[in-house]
Amino acid sequence: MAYTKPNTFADGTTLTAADLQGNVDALRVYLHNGVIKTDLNNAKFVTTRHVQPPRYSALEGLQHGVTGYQGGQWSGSLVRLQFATSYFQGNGRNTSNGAWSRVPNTAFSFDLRRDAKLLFHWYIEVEAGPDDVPQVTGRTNAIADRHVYFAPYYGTTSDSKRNVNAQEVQNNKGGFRSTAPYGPDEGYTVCNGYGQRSGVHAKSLSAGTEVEFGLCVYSEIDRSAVVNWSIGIEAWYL
Amino acid sequence: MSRINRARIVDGDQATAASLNDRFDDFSQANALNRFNLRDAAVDLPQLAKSPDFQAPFIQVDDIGKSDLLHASPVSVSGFSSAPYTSPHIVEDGAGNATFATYSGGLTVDPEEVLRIYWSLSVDADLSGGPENDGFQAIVVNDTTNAASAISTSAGCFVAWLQWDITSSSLTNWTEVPGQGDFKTAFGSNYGNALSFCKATTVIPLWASYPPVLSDGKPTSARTTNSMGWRGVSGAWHYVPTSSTTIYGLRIVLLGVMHPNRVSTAGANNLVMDTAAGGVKTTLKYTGGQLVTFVNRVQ
Repeated sequence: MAYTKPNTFADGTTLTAADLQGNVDALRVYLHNGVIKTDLNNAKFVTTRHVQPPRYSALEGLQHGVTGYQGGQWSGSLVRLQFATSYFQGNGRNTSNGAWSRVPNTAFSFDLRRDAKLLFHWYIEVEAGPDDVPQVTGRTNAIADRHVYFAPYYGTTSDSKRNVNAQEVQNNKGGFRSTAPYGPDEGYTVCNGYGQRSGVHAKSLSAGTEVEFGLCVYSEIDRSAVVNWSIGIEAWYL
Repeated sequence: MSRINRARIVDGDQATAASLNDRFDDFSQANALNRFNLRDAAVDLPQLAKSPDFQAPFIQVDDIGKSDLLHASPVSVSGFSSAPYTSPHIVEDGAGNATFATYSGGLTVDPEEVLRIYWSLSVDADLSGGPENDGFQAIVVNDTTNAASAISTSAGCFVAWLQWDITSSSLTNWTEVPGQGDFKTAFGSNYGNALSFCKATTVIPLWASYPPVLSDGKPTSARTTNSMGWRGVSGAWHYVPTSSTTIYGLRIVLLGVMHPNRVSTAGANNLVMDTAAGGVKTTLKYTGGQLVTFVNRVQ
Protein backbone atom coordinates (compact mmCIF):
# COMPACT_ATOMS: atom_id res chain seq x y z
CA MET A 1 0.00 0.00 0.00
CA ALA A 2 1.03 3.58 -0.28
CA TYR A 3 3.49 4.84 2.31
CA THR A 4 1.99 5.78 5.67
CA LYS A 5 4.32 7.22 8.24
CA PRO A 6 4.29 5.15 11.44
CA ASN A 7 4.62 8.17 13.74
CA THR A 8 2.63 11.42 13.60
CA PHE A 9 4.02 14.38 15.43
CA ALA A 10 1.92 16.73 17.55
CA ASP A 11 2.53 20.19 18.93
CA GLY A 12 3.63 20.21 22.58
CA THR A 13 5.04 16.69 22.61
CA THR A 14 8.68 15.78 22.76
CA LEU A 15 10.26 15.05 19.41
CA THR A 16 12.30 11.85 19.89
CA ALA A 17 15.09 10.51 17.74
CA ALA A 18 13.40 7.11 17.76
CA ASP A 19 10.14 8.42 16.26
CA LEU A 20 11.93 10.41 13.62
CA GLN A 21 14.22 7.50 12.75
CA GLY A 22 11.20 5.18 12.70
CA ASN A 23 9.58 7.26 9.98
CA VAL A 24 12.80 7.35 8.00
CA ASP A 25 13.31 3.59 8.33
CA ALA A 26 9.75 2.91 7.19
CA LEU A 27 10.31 5.17 4.24
CA ARG A 28 13.49 3.31 3.31
CA VAL A 29 11.65 -0.02 3.39
CA TYR A 30 8.83 1.39 1.29
CA LEU A 31 11.06 2.86 -1.37
CA HIS A 32 13.09 -0.34 -1.73
CA ASN A 33 10.43 -2.98 -1.49
CA GLY A 34 7.02 -1.53 -0.82
CA VAL A 35 5.70 0.04 -4.02
CA ILE A 36 2.57 -1.84 -5.09
CA LYS A 37 0.29 -1.48 -8.07
CA THR A 38 -2.23 0.79 -6.32
CA ASP A 39 0.57 3.30 -5.90
CA LEU A 40 0.84 3.56 -9.67
CA ASN A 41 -1.15 5.88 -11.85
CA ASN A 42 -3.98 4.08 -13.63
CA ALA A 43 -3.26 5.70 -16.99
CA LYS A 44 -0.60 4.09 -19.19
CA PHE A 45 2.67 5.89 -18.57
CA VAL A 46 5.41 3.42 -19.46
CA THR A 47 6.61 4.10 -22.99
CA THR A 48 9.18 2.34 -25.15
CA ARG A 49 12.06 4.39 -23.88
CA HIS A 50 11.38 3.27 -20.35
CA VAL A 51 11.82 -0.42 -21.19
CA GLN A 52 15.26 -1.97 -21.06
CA PRO A 53 16.28 -2.49 -24.71
CA PRO A 54 17.05 -6.07 -25.76
CA ARG A 55 20.59 -7.26 -26.16
CA TYR A 56 21.53 -8.53 -29.59
CA SER A 57 24.13 -11.21 -30.13
CA ALA A 58 25.28 -11.08 -33.73
CA LEU A 59 27.13 -14.38 -33.47
CA GLU A 60 24.05 -16.30 -32.34
CA GLY A 61 21.56 -14.18 -34.27
CA LEU A 62 19.52 -13.76 -31.10
CA GLN A 63 18.06 -10.86 -29.20
CA HIS A 64 17.09 -11.17 -25.56
CA GLY A 65 14.78 -8.75 -23.78
CA VAL A 66 11.94 -8.52 -21.34
CA THR A 67 9.61 -10.44 -23.66
CA GLY A 68 12.03 -13.31 -24.26
CA TYR A 69 14.29 -14.47 -27.06
CA GLN A 70 13.77 -13.92 -30.76
CA GLY A 71 16.14 -14.60 -33.61
CA GLY A 72 17.25 -16.66 -36.54
CA GLN A 73 20.20 -18.03 -38.43
CA TRP A 74 20.68 -19.21 -41.97
CA SER A 75 23.32 -20.88 -44.05
CA GLY A 76 24.40 -17.65 -45.66
CA SER A 77 24.58 -16.48 -49.22
CA LEU A 78 27.16 -19.09 -50.18
CA VAL A 79 26.39 -22.76 -50.53
CA ARG A 80 28.19 -24.50 -47.70
CA LEU A 81 27.19 -28.12 -47.54
CA GLN A 82 26.53 -29.67 -44.15
CA PHE A 83 27.12 -33.34 -44.61
CA ALA A 84 24.32 -35.60 -43.45
CA THR A 85 25.78 -38.88 -44.48
CA SER A 86 25.26 -42.37 -43.17
CA TYR A 87 29.00 -42.38 -42.48
CA PHE A 88 28.16 -40.39 -39.35
CA GLN A 89 25.79 -43.07 -38.17
CA GLY A 90 27.74 -46.10 -39.32
CA ASN A 91 27.02 -47.66 -42.67
CA GLY A 92 24.70 -50.64 -42.58
CA ARG A 93 22.58 -49.72 -39.59
CA ASN A 94 18.98 -50.69 -39.90
CA THR A 95 17.68 -48.96 -36.82
CA SER A 96 17.42 -45.29 -35.97
CA ASN A 97 17.87 -45.84 -32.24
CA GLY A 98 20.89 -43.94 -31.03
CA ALA A 99 22.08 -43.30 -34.53
CA TRP A 100 21.28 -39.61 -34.84
CA SER A 101 23.83 -36.86 -35.29
CA ARG A 102 23.60 -33.10 -34.98
CA VAL A 103 23.53 -31.15 -38.24
CA PRO A 104 26.45 -28.75 -37.76
CA ASN A 105 25.58 -25.12 -36.97
CA THR A 106 21.82 -25.61 -37.05
CA ALA A 107 21.17 -25.06 -33.35
CA PHE A 108 20.42 -22.40 -30.77
CA SER A 109 21.81 -22.59 -27.25
CA PHE A 110 20.77 -20.15 -24.51
CA ASP A 111 19.43 -20.00 -20.98
CA LEU A 112 15.93 -18.98 -19.96
CA ARG A 113 15.44 -16.30 -17.29
CA ARG A 114 11.72 -16.98 -16.95
CA ASP A 115 9.22 -19.72 -17.61
CA ALA A 116 8.65 -19.58 -21.37
CA LYS A 117 6.77 -20.97 -24.32
CA LEU A 118 9.07 -21.70 -27.26
CA LEU A 119 8.70 -22.31 -30.98
CA PHE A 120 11.66 -23.58 -33.02
CA HIS A 121 11.18 -23.08 -36.78
CA TRP A 122 13.38 -24.92 -39.26
CA TYR A 123 13.89 -25.27 -43.01
CA ILE A 124 16.36 -27.32 -45.01
CA GLU A 125 17.17 -27.99 -48.65
CA VAL A 126 18.69 -31.41 -49.17
CA GLU A 127 20.45 -33.44 -51.84
CA ALA A 128 20.52 -37.17 -51.18
CA GLY A 129 22.43 -39.83 -53.09
CA PRO A 130 22.92 -41.51 -55.40
CA ASP A 131 23.77 -44.39 -53.10
CA ASP A 132 23.76 -47.57 -55.16
CA VAL A 133 25.72 -49.76 -52.80
CA PRO A 134 24.12 -53.20 -53.10
CA GLN A 135 21.40 -54.12 -50.66
CA VAL A 136 22.25 -56.42 -47.77
CA THR A 137 19.15 -57.83 -46.14
CA GLY A 138 18.87 -56.74 -42.54
CA ARG A 139 21.72 -54.26 -42.86
CA THR A 140 21.36 -52.03 -45.88
CA ASN A 141 18.01 -51.13 -47.39
CA ALA A 142 17.09 -51.50 -51.04
CA ILE A 143 18.46 -48.63 -53.11
CA ALA A 144 14.98 -47.19 -53.69
CA ASP A 145 14.15 -47.45 -50.00
CA ARG A 146 16.99 -45.41 -48.53
CA HIS A 147 16.19 -42.12 -46.88
CA VAL A 148 17.81 -39.37 -44.93
CA TYR A 149 15.69 -38.24 -41.97
CA PHE A 150 15.86 -34.80 -40.38
CA ALA A 151 14.24 -33.96 -37.08
CA PRO A 152 14.24 -31.01 -34.71
CA TYR A 153 15.42 -31.85 -31.21
CA TYR A 154 15.35 -30.24 -27.82
CA GLY A 155 18.13 -30.95 -25.35
CA THR A 156 19.79 -33.97 -26.91
CA THR A 157 19.41 -35.86 -30.15
CA SER A 158 17.60 -38.56 -28.15
CA ASP A 159 14.63 -36.21 -27.79
CA SER A 160 11.63 -38.48 -27.36
CA LYS A 161 9.75 -36.63 -30.10
CA ARG A 162 12.55 -36.99 -32.63
CA ASN A 163 11.06 -39.97 -34.44
CA VAL A 164 7.58 -38.42 -34.59
CA ASN A 165 8.84 -35.09 -35.89
CA ALA A 166 11.28 -36.44 -38.46
CA GLN A 167 10.85 -35.66 -42.13
CA GLU A 168 12.58 -37.69 -44.80
CA VAL A 169 14.16 -37.17 -48.22
CA GLN A 170 14.48 -40.08 -50.62
CA ASN A 171 17.70 -41.38 -52.17
CA ASN A 172 18.44 -40.52 -55.80
CA LYS A 173 17.58 -44.07 -56.65
CA GLY A 174 18.76 -44.08 -60.25
CA GLY A 175 22.33 -44.77 -59.18
CA PHE A 176 25.36 -43.77 -61.25
CA ARG A 177 25.89 -43.97 -64.98
CA SER A 178 28.18 -46.75 -66.06
CA THR A 179 29.48 -44.86 -69.08
CA ALA A 180 30.78 -41.36 -69.65
CA PRO A 181 29.76 -38.82 -68.70
CA TYR A 182 29.81 -40.42 -65.30
CA GLY A 183 27.59 -39.09 -62.58
CA PRO A 184 24.03 -39.55 -61.38
CA ASP A 185 21.96 -41.40 -63.94
CA GLU A 186 18.83 -39.40 -63.07
CA GLY A 187 18.50 -35.77 -62.18
CA TYR A 188 17.79 -34.51 -58.69
CA THR A 189 14.04 -33.93 -58.56
CA VAL A 190 11.54 -33.54 -55.78
CA CYS A 191 10.86 -37.27 -56.01
CA ASN A 192 14.41 -38.37 -56.56
CA GLY A 193 17.18 -37.23 -54.26
CA TYR A 194 16.12 -33.63 -53.69
CA GLY A 195 13.79 -32.05 -51.17
CA GLN A 196 12.93 -29.00 -49.13
CA ARG A 197 11.47 -29.63 -45.69
CA SER A 198 10.24 -27.35 -42.93
CA GLY A 199 8.61 -27.68 -39.56
CA VAL A 200 8.02 -26.33 -36.08
CA HIS A 201 9.00 -27.82 -32.72
CA ALA A 202 7.27 -26.44 -29.62
CA LYS A 203 7.96 -26.68 -25.90
CA SER A 204 7.04 -25.11 -22.57
CA LEU A 205 10.10 -24.74 -20.37
CA SER A 206 10.95 -23.43 -16.91
CA ALA A 207 13.15 -20.55 -15.83
CA GLY A 208 16.80 -21.48 -15.50
CA THR A 209 16.67 -24.10 -18.24
CA GLU A 210 19.71 -24.37 -20.48
CA VAL A 211 17.97 -24.56 -23.85
CA GLU A 212 19.32 -26.27 -26.93
CA PHE A 213 17.11 -26.51 -29.98
CA GLY A 214 18.57 -27.84 -33.20
CA LEU A 215 18.36 -30.22 -36.12
CA CYS A 216 19.62 -33.79 -36.12
CA VAL A 217 19.92 -36.34 -38.87
CA TYR A 218 19.71 -40.08 -39.34
CA SER A 219 20.83 -41.21 -42.78
CA GLU A 220 20.59 -44.49 -44.67
CA ILE A 221 22.32 -42.85 -47.64
CA ASP A 222 26.08 -42.78 -47.92
CA ARG A 223 26.27 -39.37 -49.59
CA SER A 224 23.68 -36.79 -48.59
CA ALA A 225 24.01 -33.19 -47.54
CA VAL A 226 22.12 -30.13 -46.43
CA VAL A 227 22.59 -27.52 -49.15
CA ASN A 228 20.80 -24.62 -47.45
CA TRP A 229 19.15 -24.23 -44.10
CA SER A 230 17.57 -21.70 -41.78
CA ILE A 231 16.37 -21.83 -38.20
CA GLY A 232 14.38 -19.44 -36.06
CA ILE A 233 13.42 -19.28 -32.40
CA GLU A 234 10.64 -17.60 -30.44
CA ALA A 235 10.77 -17.80 -26.64
CA TRP A 236 7.92 -15.97 -24.97
CA TYR A 237 8.33 -15.02 -21.30
CA LEU A 238 5.08 -13.10 -20.96
CA MET B 1 1.39 14.61 -7.95
CA SER B 2 4.14 12.16 -8.58
CA ARG B 3 7.01 14.46 -7.81
CA ILE B 4 7.59 15.85 -4.33
CA ASN B 5 7.87 19.58 -4.66
CA ARG B 6 8.70 20.98 -1.27
CA ALA B 7 11.46 23.38 -0.47
CA ARG B 8 14.51 22.19 1.39
CA ILE B 9 14.96 22.98 5.08
CA VAL B 10 17.39 25.81 5.45
CA ASP B 11 18.97 27.53 8.41
CA GLY B 12 16.48 29.72 10.23
CA ASP B 13 13.42 27.66 9.40
CA GLN B 14 11.20 26.84 12.35
CA ALA B 15 10.56 23.12 12.84
CA THR B 16 6.93 22.42 13.68
CA ALA B 17 4.96 19.22 14.07
CA ALA B 18 2.95 20.08 10.97
CA SER B 19 5.94 20.72 8.76
CA LEU B 20 7.59 17.53 9.93
CA ASN B 21 4.43 15.50 9.26
CA ASP B 22 4.12 17.05 5.82
CA ARG B 23 7.60 15.94 4.84
CA PHE B 24 6.68 12.28 5.49
CA ASP B 25 3.13 12.54 4.16
CA ASP B 26 4.57 13.73 0.85
CA PHE B 27 5.39 10.08 0.13
CA SER B 28 1.76 8.94 0.60
CA GLN B 29 0.28 9.47 -2.84
CA ALA B 30 -1.79 6.49 -3.95
CA ASN B 31 -2.11 6.14 -7.75
CA ALA B 32 0.37 8.95 -8.17
CA LEU B 33 3.52 7.24 -9.44
CA ASN B 34 3.76 7.98 -13.14
CA ARG B 35 6.21 8.73 -15.92
CA PHE B 36 8.05 11.30 -13.80
CA ASN B 37 9.29 8.40 -11.64
CA LEU B 38 10.69 6.44 -14.55
CA ARG B 39 13.96 6.92 -16.32
CA ASP B 40 14.97 5.51 -19.66
CA ALA B 41 15.40 1.71 -19.61
CA ALA B 42 14.16 1.57 -16.02
CA VAL B 43 11.75 -1.30 -16.66
CA ASP B 44 13.45 -4.68 -16.94
CA LEU B 45 12.53 -8.28 -16.21
CA PRO B 46 12.27 -7.80 -12.42
CA GLN B 47 9.57 -5.15 -12.88
CA LEU B 48 7.34 -7.50 -14.91
CA ALA B 49 5.11 -10.09 -13.32
CA LYS B 50 6.29 -13.65 -13.78
CA SER B 51 4.76 -15.57 -16.67
CA PRO B 52 1.26 -14.09 -16.65
CA ASP B 53 0.62 -15.66 -20.08
CA PHE B 54 -0.07 -12.25 -21.54
CA GLN B 55 1.70 -12.34 -24.89
CA ALA B 56 1.62 -16.11 -25.37
CA PRO B 57 -1.34 -17.42 -23.39
CA PHE B 58 -1.47 -20.95 -24.83
CA ILE B 59 0.70 -23.69 -26.30
CA GLN B 60 -0.06 -27.35 -26.94
CA VAL B 61 1.62 -30.10 -28.92
CA ASP B 62 -0.22 -33.24 -30.10
CA ASP B 63 1.17 -36.28 -31.88
CA ILE B 64 -0.82 -37.22 -34.98
CA GLY B 65 -0.77 -40.28 -37.22
CA LYS B 66 1.35 -43.30 -36.40
CA SER B 67 4.88 -43.13 -35.05
CA ASP B 68 6.70 -45.38 -37.52
CA LEU B 69 9.92 -43.71 -38.58
CA LEU B 70 11.20 -46.48 -40.86
CA HIS B 71 7.82 -47.04 -42.57
CA ALA B 72 7.47 -50.59 -41.31
CA SER B 73 3.66 -50.53 -41.30
CA PRO B 74 2.26 -47.19 -42.37
CA VAL B 75 -1.40 -46.14 -42.48
CA SER B 76 -2.96 -46.41 -45.97
CA VAL B 77 -5.70 -44.30 -47.54
CA SER B 78 -7.16 -45.39 -50.88
CA GLY B 79 -8.01 -42.76 -53.43
CA PHE B 80 -11.66 -41.80 -53.30
CA SER B 81 -13.78 -43.44 -56.00
CA SER B 82 -16.95 -41.33 -55.84
CA ALA B 83 -17.62 -37.62 -55.89
CA PRO B 84 -18.78 -35.81 -53.90
CA TYR B 85 -17.29 -37.91 -51.13
CA THR B 86 -19.16 -38.75 -47.92
CA SER B 87 -16.44 -38.20 -45.30
CA PRO B 88 -12.78 -37.33 -45.68
CA HIS B 89 -10.11 -39.53 -44.13
CA ILE B 90 -9.23 -38.41 -40.59
CA VAL B 91 -5.56 -38.80 -39.74
CA GLU B 92 -5.35 -41.80 -37.41
CA ASP B 93 -2.93 -44.09 -35.59
CA GLY B 94 -3.26 -47.15 -37.82
CA ALA B 95 -5.63 -48.88 -35.39
CA GLY B 96 -8.69 -46.88 -36.37
CA ASN B 97 -8.27 -44.25 -33.66
CA ALA B 98 -8.44 -40.69 -34.95
CA THR B 99 -5.53 -38.52 -33.78
CA PHE B 100 -6.25 -34.84 -33.25
CA ALA B 101 -5.94 -31.97 -30.79
CA THR B 102 -8.47 -31.50 -28.02
CA TYR B 103 -8.50 -28.64 -25.55
CA SER B 104 -9.63 -29.25 -22.00
CA GLY B 105 -12.66 -27.08 -21.35
CA GLY B 106 -12.26 -25.45 -24.74
CA LEU B 107 -9.64 -23.01 -25.97
CA THR B 108 -11.08 -19.51 -26.25
CA VAL B 109 -9.34 -17.23 -28.75
CA ASP B 110 -10.25 -13.54 -28.55
CA PRO B 111 -10.21 -10.92 -31.34
CA GLU B 112 -7.01 -9.40 -29.95
CA GLU B 113 -5.27 -12.77 -30.35
CA VAL B 114 -4.01 -14.83 -33.27
CA LEU B 115 -4.37 -18.61 -33.41
CA ARG B 116 -1.25 -20.18 -34.91
CA ILE B 117 -1.38 -23.79 -36.13
CA TYR B 118 1.60 -25.79 -37.42
CA TRP B 119 1.54 -29.47 -38.38
CA SER B 120 3.65 -32.10 -40.11
CA LEU B 121 3.23 -35.62 -41.45
CA SER B 122 5.35 -38.12 -43.38
CA VAL B 123 3.65 -39.41 -46.55
CA ASP B 124 4.22 -41.64 -49.57
CA ALA B 125 2.17 -42.58 -52.63
CA ASP B 126 1.61 -46.13 -53.92
CA LEU B 127 0.94 -45.82 -57.65
CA SER B 128 0.93 -49.52 -58.45
CA GLY B 129 -2.43 -49.09 -60.20
CA GLY B 130 -0.93 -46.64 -62.68
CA PRO B 131 -3.13 -43.56 -62.27
CA GLU B 132 -0.89 -41.04 -64.01
CA ASN B 133 -2.75 -40.99 -67.34
CA ASP B 134 -6.31 -41.53 -66.11
CA GLY B 135 -9.13 -39.00 -65.82
CA PHE B 136 -7.79 -35.44 -65.96
CA GLN B 137 -4.25 -36.55 -65.25
CA ALA B 138 -2.86 -36.41 -68.80
CA ILE B 139 -2.81 -34.37 -71.98
CA VAL B 140 -2.39 -35.89 -75.44
CA VAL B 141 0.31 -34.92 -77.95
CA ASN B 142 1.65 -36.48 -81.10
CA ASP B 143 4.70 -38.63 -80.59
CA THR B 144 7.57 -39.23 -83.01
CA THR B 145 5.35 -41.53 -85.07
CA ASN B 146 2.56 -38.90 -85.12
CA ALA B 147 0.44 -41.20 -82.99
CA ALA B 148 -1.55 -39.74 -80.12
CA SER B 149 0.47 -40.14 -76.94
CA ALA B 150 -0.54 -39.28 -73.39
CA ILE B 151 1.73 -37.25 -71.14
CA SER B 152 0.81 -36.97 -67.49
CA THR B 153 0.45 -33.45 -66.14
CA SER B 154 2.01 -34.73 -62.88
CA ALA B 155 -0.47 -32.50 -61.10
CA GLY B 156 -2.36 -35.29 -59.33
CA CYS B 157 -2.38 -34.77 -55.61
CA PHE B 158 -3.98 -35.49 -52.28
CA VAL B 159 -5.05 -32.58 -50.10
CA ALA B 160 -4.84 -32.23 -46.34
CA TRP B 161 -6.82 -29.55 -44.55
CA LEU B 162 -7.91 -28.41 -41.10
CA GLN B 163 -11.26 -28.99 -39.46
CA TRP B 164 -12.32 -27.80 -36.01
CA ASP B 165 -15.20 -28.25 -33.59
CA ILE B 166 -16.34 -24.99 -32.04
CA THR B 167 -19.68 -26.32 -30.81
CA SER B 168 -19.02 -28.57 -27.82
CA SER B 169 -16.57 -30.92 -26.18
CA SER B 170 -18.60 -33.86 -27.47
CA LEU B 171 -16.69 -33.33 -30.73
CA THR B 172 -19.57 -34.24 -33.03
CA ASN B 173 -19.71 -31.02 -35.04
CA TRP B 174 -16.54 -30.87 -37.09
CA THR B 175 -16.47 -28.16 -39.74
CA GLU B 176 -13.89 -26.60 -42.00
CA VAL B 177 -11.91 -23.75 -40.42
CA PRO B 178 -12.55 -20.22 -41.80
CA GLY B 179 -11.20 -19.72 -45.31
CA GLN B 180 -11.38 -23.43 -46.03
CA GLY B 181 -14.01 -25.25 -48.13
CA ASP B 182 -14.98 -28.92 -47.93
CA PHE B 183 -14.20 -29.81 -51.59
CA LYS B 184 -17.88 -30.58 -52.25
CA THR B 185 -18.73 -27.56 -54.40
CA ALA B 186 -20.02 -28.60 -57.84
CA PHE B 187 -18.18 -27.31 -60.88
CA GLY B 188 -20.17 -28.83 -63.72
CA SER B 189 -19.92 -32.55 -63.11
CA ASN B 190 -16.88 -32.19 -60.88
CA TYR B 191 -16.60 -31.50 -57.17
CA GLY B 192 -13.94 -29.56 -55.33
CA ASN B 193 -12.92 -26.13 -54.06
CA ALA B 194 -12.11 -22.86 -55.73
CA LEU B 195 -8.51 -22.10 -54.77
CA SER B 196 -9.75 -19.11 -52.80
CA PHE B 197 -11.29 -21.61 -50.35
CA CYS B 198 -8.10 -23.60 -49.82
CA LYS B 199 -6.56 -21.35 -47.18
CA ALA B 200 -5.95 -24.18 -44.70
CA THR B 201 -4.98 -26.73 -47.35
CA THR B 202 -1.65 -28.46 -47.92
CA VAL B 203 -1.24 -30.07 -51.34
CA ILE B 204 0.54 -33.44 -51.39
CA PRO B 205 1.93 -34.15 -54.89
CA LEU B 206 1.96 -37.83 -55.84
CA TRP B 207 4.18 -38.40 -58.87
CA ALA B 208 6.34 -36.87 -61.57
CA SER B 209 6.11 -38.34 -65.09
CA TYR B 210 8.02 -37.23 -68.15
CA PRO B 211 9.09 -38.47 -71.62
CA PRO B 212 12.82 -39.23 -71.27
CA VAL B 213 13.50 -39.26 -75.03
CA LEU B 214 12.66 -36.39 -77.38
CA SER B 215 13.32 -36.11 -81.11
CA ASP B 216 12.68 -32.93 -83.06
CA GLY B 217 10.61 -31.70 -80.16
CA LYS B 218 8.43 -34.79 -80.08
CA PRO B 219 8.47 -37.48 -77.40
CA THR B 220 8.74 -41.15 -78.06
CA SER B 221 6.16 -43.31 -76.37
CA ALA B 222 8.56 -44.00 -73.49
CA ARG B 223 7.68 -42.48 -70.11
CA THR B 224 9.50 -42.32 -66.80
CA THR B 225 7.16 -42.08 -63.84
CA ASN B 226 8.41 -41.69 -60.30
CA SER B 227 6.34 -41.69 -57.16
CA MET B 228 7.18 -38.74 -54.89
CA GLY B 229 8.37 -41.32 -52.36
CA TRP B 230 8.46 -40.89 -48.62
CA ARG B 231 8.67 -37.26 -47.69
CA GLY B 232 7.76 -34.88 -44.92
CA VAL B 233 4.89 -32.47 -45.57
CA SER B 234 3.81 -29.61 -43.34
CA GLY B 235 1.15 -26.95 -43.03
CA ALA B 236 0.57 -23.67 -41.24
CA TRP B 237 -2.60 -21.68 -40.59
CA HIS B 238 -3.06 -18.39 -38.73
CA TYR B 239 -6.41 -16.94 -37.73
CA VAL B 240 -7.63 -13.83 -35.92
CA PRO B 241 -11.29 -14.33 -34.88
CA THR B 242 -13.77 -11.49 -35.30
CA SER B 243 -15.37 -12.45 -31.99
CA SER B 244 -14.34 -14.68 -29.11
CA THR B 245 -14.31 -18.27 -30.36
CA THR B 246 -14.00 -21.41 -28.24
CA ILE B 247 -12.32 -24.36 -29.93
CA TYR B 248 -12.85 -27.89 -28.59
CA GLY B 249 -10.92 -29.86 -31.20
CA LEU B 250 -8.73 -29.46 -34.28
CA ARG B 251 -7.80 -32.17 -36.78
CA ILE B 252 -6.22 -32.93 -40.17
CA VAL B 253 -8.27 -34.69 -42.87
CA LEU B 254 -7.17 -36.13 -46.22
CA LEU B 255 -8.80 -36.42 -49.64
CA GLY B 256 -7.65 -37.47 -53.11
CA VAL B 257 -6.97 -37.84 -55.93
CA MET B 258 -7.32 -34.19 -56.94
CA HIS B 259 -6.39 -32.28 -60.10
CA PRO B 260 -6.43 -28.59 -61.09
CA ASN B 261 -9.51 -27.50 -63.02
CA ARG B 262 -10.72 -24.24 -64.50
CA VAL B 263 -14.34 -23.41 -65.19
CA SER B 264 -14.15 -20.75 -67.87
CA THR B 265 -17.67 -19.44 -67.25
CA ALA B 266 -17.01 -18.92 -63.58
CA GLY B 267 -13.48 -17.75 -64.21
CA ALA B 268 -12.18 -19.56 -61.17
CA ASN B 269 -9.24 -21.88 -60.72
CA ASN B 270 -10.32 -24.95 -58.82
CA LEU B 271 -8.98 -28.14 -57.30
CA VAL B 272 -11.43 -30.99 -58.02
CA MET B 273 -11.69 -34.71 -57.34
CA ASP B 274 -10.63 -37.07 -60.10
CA THR B 275 -12.24 -40.40 -59.25
CA ALA B 276 -10.84 -42.05 -62.37
CA ALA B 277 -7.38 -41.83 -60.80
CA GLY B 278 -8.68 -42.80 -57.34
CA GLY B 279 -9.92 -46.09 -55.98
CA VAL B 280 -7.31 -48.83 -55.98
CA LYS B 281 -5.12 -47.01 -58.49
CA THR B 282 -3.67 -44.60 -55.96
CA THR B 283 -2.98 -45.11 -52.28
CA LEU B 284 -1.59 -42.51 -49.93
CA LYS B 285 0.47 -43.87 -47.05
CA TYR B 286 1.48 -41.92 -43.97
CA THR B 287 3.22 -42.32 -40.64
CA GLY B 288 3.55 -39.69 -37.91
CA GLY B 289 3.76 -36.00 -37.27
CA GLN B 290 2.83 -33.30 -34.81
CA LEU B 291 0.17 -30.62 -34.48
CA VAL B 292 1.19 -27.44 -32.65
CA THR B 293 -1.42 -25.03 -31.29
CA PHE B 294 -0.13 -21.62 -30.22
CA VAL B 295 -1.97 -18.45 -29.30
CA ASN B 296 -0.37 -14.99 -29.44
CA ARG B 297 -1.77 -11.66 -28.32
CA VAL B 298 -1.42 -9.13 -31.13
CA GLN B 299 -3.15 -6.06 -29.67
